[in-house]
Amino acid sequence: MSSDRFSRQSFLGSRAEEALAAAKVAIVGLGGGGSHVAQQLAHLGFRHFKLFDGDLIEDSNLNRLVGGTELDVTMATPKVIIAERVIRSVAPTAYVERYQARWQDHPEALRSCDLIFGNVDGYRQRWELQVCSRRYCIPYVDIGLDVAEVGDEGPKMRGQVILTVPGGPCMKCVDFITDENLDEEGARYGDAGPRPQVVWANGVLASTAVGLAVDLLTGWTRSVPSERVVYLSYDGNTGVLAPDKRLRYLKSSSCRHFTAEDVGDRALRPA
Amino acid sequence: MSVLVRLRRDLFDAMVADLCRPHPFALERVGFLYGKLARALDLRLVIPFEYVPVPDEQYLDEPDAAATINADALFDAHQRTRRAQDCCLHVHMHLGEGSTWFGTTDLKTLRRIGPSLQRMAKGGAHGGLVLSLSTASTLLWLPGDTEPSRGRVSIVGFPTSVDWRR
Ligand SMILES: [Zn+2]
Repeated sequence: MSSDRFSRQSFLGSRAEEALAAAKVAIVGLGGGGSHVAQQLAHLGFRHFKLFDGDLIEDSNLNRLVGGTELDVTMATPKVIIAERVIRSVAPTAYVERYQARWQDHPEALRSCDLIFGNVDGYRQRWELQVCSRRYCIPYVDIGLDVAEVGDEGPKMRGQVILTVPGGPCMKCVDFITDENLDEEGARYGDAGPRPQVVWANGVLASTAVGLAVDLLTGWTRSVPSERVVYLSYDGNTGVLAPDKRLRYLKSSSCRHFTAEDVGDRALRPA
Repeated sequence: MSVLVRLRRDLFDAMVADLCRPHPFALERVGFLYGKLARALDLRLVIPFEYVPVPDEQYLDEPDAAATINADALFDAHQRTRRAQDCCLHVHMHLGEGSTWFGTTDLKTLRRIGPSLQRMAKGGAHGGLVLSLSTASTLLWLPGDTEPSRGRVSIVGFPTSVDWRR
């Protein structure tokens, strides 16, 4: 380790500092989940960030957006600028590229990343990130949270953290994304609605996602998930975060939705 | 422009397992790795998707070289590359952990094979990949280049090794 800053995380391994500093990380969505992710990565010593979010902060974001202030709401500050400010307050010399847009408008920027964090709404958006991560051979960490009112049982808070790697099962393989839920969402014109969100649950999921990413890049736990995918479900009512039951029904540690050859740019081949 | 090979860890493991197998007489094994070339913001990506070992009978029994493959082996690689217009990398392995690089004989071989593959698929990146038990290095010819580029190789899976060499 080259400095005192990371002395308390030296258990991550002798090359961890270099590995985290070198990794180019994309954070797609810088609201409740992504803002925590950005802050934690900066503390850990990550130095290369590509931030994607087209939105400006609003009053209704202040209950959870890390780094957001009342002044930002007054000024309608873009979320990517708030995230950059948080990162630079910890790591002033970090390389930060801001894209105040959808990632689909800057696909080549996303493809150049070594790891993608997706903090997006809805299944369609998740699936598009999954497809890009497979075509360009990039690990993808997905986090999401939802609160549903079921009958008169009271609100149920549920969330997930899923880490997929190329070759291993995808989010369809683990049955998190299905054609039915994609269709259902499509019928609602992709509008997932304003989902209830709270800072502590976003924090649990984002912290867990960051922990998985650090292990992926440093191998510090020396454990490899036998299924070649991590799918953790969060029960926000009880606070339990555990491997999802659907993993038990996983038939293979390979993906059946993307073939090995489904990589790279889609191009017309010469005859 | 810099080049990055993003190699799935399961493919890397499969190549190591194959290249470690003893051959009846050759001292080391060889294979060919096929992939697609893609464009990212500030780099070219090579994304391999299939490894094809050179069959036992396509090695030459030559005492001077550790592994020499015959004309059929190269012909097969050429044909496949031409047909699919993919990238093709000649793969071999140096036993041991940590970073490794091509030896003088390796480089001579590559300077013959790289440009010949380039003629088969002009839109691809072609050259060589040398593995150790834990890492890989690459030298490849990009479309239109007459001299090869030293690329980086990241191994993607559990765990993911990001190549941070300049
Ligand atoms: Zn799948």
